[in-house]
Amino acid sequence: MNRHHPLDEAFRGRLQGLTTETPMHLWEQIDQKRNWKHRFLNQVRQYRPFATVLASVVATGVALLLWNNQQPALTAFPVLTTPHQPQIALRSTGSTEAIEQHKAIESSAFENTSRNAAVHSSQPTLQTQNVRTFSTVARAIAEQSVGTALNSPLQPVASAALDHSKKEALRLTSTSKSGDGSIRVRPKPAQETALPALAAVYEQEQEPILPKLFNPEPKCAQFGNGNWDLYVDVMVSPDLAFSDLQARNPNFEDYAKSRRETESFVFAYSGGIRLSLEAESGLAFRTGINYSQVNEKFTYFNGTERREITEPVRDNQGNIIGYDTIVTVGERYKVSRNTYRMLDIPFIVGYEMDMGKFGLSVNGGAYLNLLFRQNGDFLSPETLTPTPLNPEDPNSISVFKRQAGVGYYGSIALTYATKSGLEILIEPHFKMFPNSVTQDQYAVQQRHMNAGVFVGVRKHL
Amino acid sequence: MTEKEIVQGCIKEDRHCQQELFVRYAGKMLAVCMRYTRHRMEAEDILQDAFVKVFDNIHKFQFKGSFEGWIRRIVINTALKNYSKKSFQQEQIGLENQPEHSTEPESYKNLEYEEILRLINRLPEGYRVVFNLYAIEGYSHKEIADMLGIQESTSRSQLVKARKMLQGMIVKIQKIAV
Repeated sequence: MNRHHPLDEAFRGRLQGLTTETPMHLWEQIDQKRNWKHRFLNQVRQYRPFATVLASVVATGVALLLWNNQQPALTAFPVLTTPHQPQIALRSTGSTEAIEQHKAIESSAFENTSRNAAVHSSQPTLQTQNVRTFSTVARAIAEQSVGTALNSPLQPVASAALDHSKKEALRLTSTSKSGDGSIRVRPKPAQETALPALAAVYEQEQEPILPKLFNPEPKCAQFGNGNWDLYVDVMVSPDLAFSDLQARNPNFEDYAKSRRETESFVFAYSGGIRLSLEAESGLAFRTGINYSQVNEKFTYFNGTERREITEPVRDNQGNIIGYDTIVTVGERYKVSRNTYRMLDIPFIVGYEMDMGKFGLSVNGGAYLNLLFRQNGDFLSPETLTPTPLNPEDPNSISVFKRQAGVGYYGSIALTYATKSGLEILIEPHFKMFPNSVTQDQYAVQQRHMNAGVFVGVRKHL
Repeated sequence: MTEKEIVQGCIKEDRHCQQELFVRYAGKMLAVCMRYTRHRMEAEDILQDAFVKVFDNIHKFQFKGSFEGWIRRIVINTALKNYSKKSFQQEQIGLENQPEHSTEPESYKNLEYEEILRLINRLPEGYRVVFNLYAIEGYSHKEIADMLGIQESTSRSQLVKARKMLQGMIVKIQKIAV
């Protein structure tokens, strides 16, 4: 290391500690740059680890909440294997023994009901079958409850219920025995008819003591409340992007060609969240938010780049005695990564076809562009040298529009329903913005097209 | 206001302390920026970016070592980042065959700092950066290689070429003056 080269020493001695007058407008610009938004983001950046953990916890909580509140898949109607169990009576009386006995009564009644229903299944009419079944059930309940009541010291609540069951059963038995052929009981399936008999008794007799005994079964499936279903789709896609460059007039053909030669597609992707409103008829309306980014490579090479620097030459007194021009000729090679970012709102109409676990839909609509931003370099039409796509100087005119306008969208989507209640979504799609994204006064018209395959999940809300 | 008070005020986003810090160090740091750029406007842009970084990260300063050195390091890193964006490499062409210039060490002492700045600014980007980092800031070739992502040997050769070019320019000035 040669720290003692006289040139280094001389330059260091003169320049170290040198102070230059600084205009105060620089401070004002710094102050403007560090506005509240900048300071807030800086604070967030400082606490990023905590913010990440907090966001993860919140996201997990929301996910669990959604998971718990989700509607169960309706594969079969949830008929219980045992009749209603008087759990509230257990709390009221405090006697487990009495309740166990009562459960036994109801279980045997249910078994008899099922057996008898099977025996009478060959009866000629539904009406007759139901009446007989109901009579059998009532008789069974009466016989067994009487027997049990006599043999065991039941608690008052259970006794009252059983007494009422007995009376009700006898009344119904006598009704069925009348044999007049007039049916006053509404026909019901055997199991459904048998079970509410006790429930009705409890409702009548024990309502003050057992206020919420027969609340709706919490696991019972909820049937749709209308003709529409709401879904949310979350999806991402690797894309292929195509940029169409056309000169506005023949004078700019060479320039357009140069731009085509210096810019090449690298990769693109898009992602979004979409809400879908689907009718029973299969018609679907979808909207949401979509972000897409196209990455390109800008490559510039000039083997005979000239650069001129003109400097005044001074004498020992500091007077300018001439000008010195240094011309450097050499190669210039520049590579930039260009990015085009879009934020769009889709308005899509689709048609859904249900095929069991699979679903197929055809979609078409419009993408309304909210934001269109660019970064990188391109060839300047004036100098044919690399120029920023978005110059930092706010007074200079950008060649691109702030919004890309309205684009067309088309897709075919395939869904597969998983056991977890989510649907896997695969959606090949294309998106095209027919209008040029460049300003009218710029030499070249530029249009963007994307094609890709969305992969994501769909959740029924 | 002491340096510690200024720093603590800046951590609390006190605007007056921030302005005081800027007034105290901006002149020196602008001079640093001007060594790494050809134009004053570009140097001012770098200075702005550097001071935004200083205010954003001032809570990280541990009061160990020189505060001015800490700011200078941020300014230099910002200037180097600006340099790496440019990738203008043509200036190395055609310098290999330049003749050696013999200059008396005494002749350097007659140069004013504006002249020295002007000479440095006329160096190609790569030479200028290496010369600044090695000769003025005092970094080693290894440190320069790490900072710029180049080989140590490249740093050495760029320094030698920078010196050769500066000597040639000084000789030219002396001839004109005579």
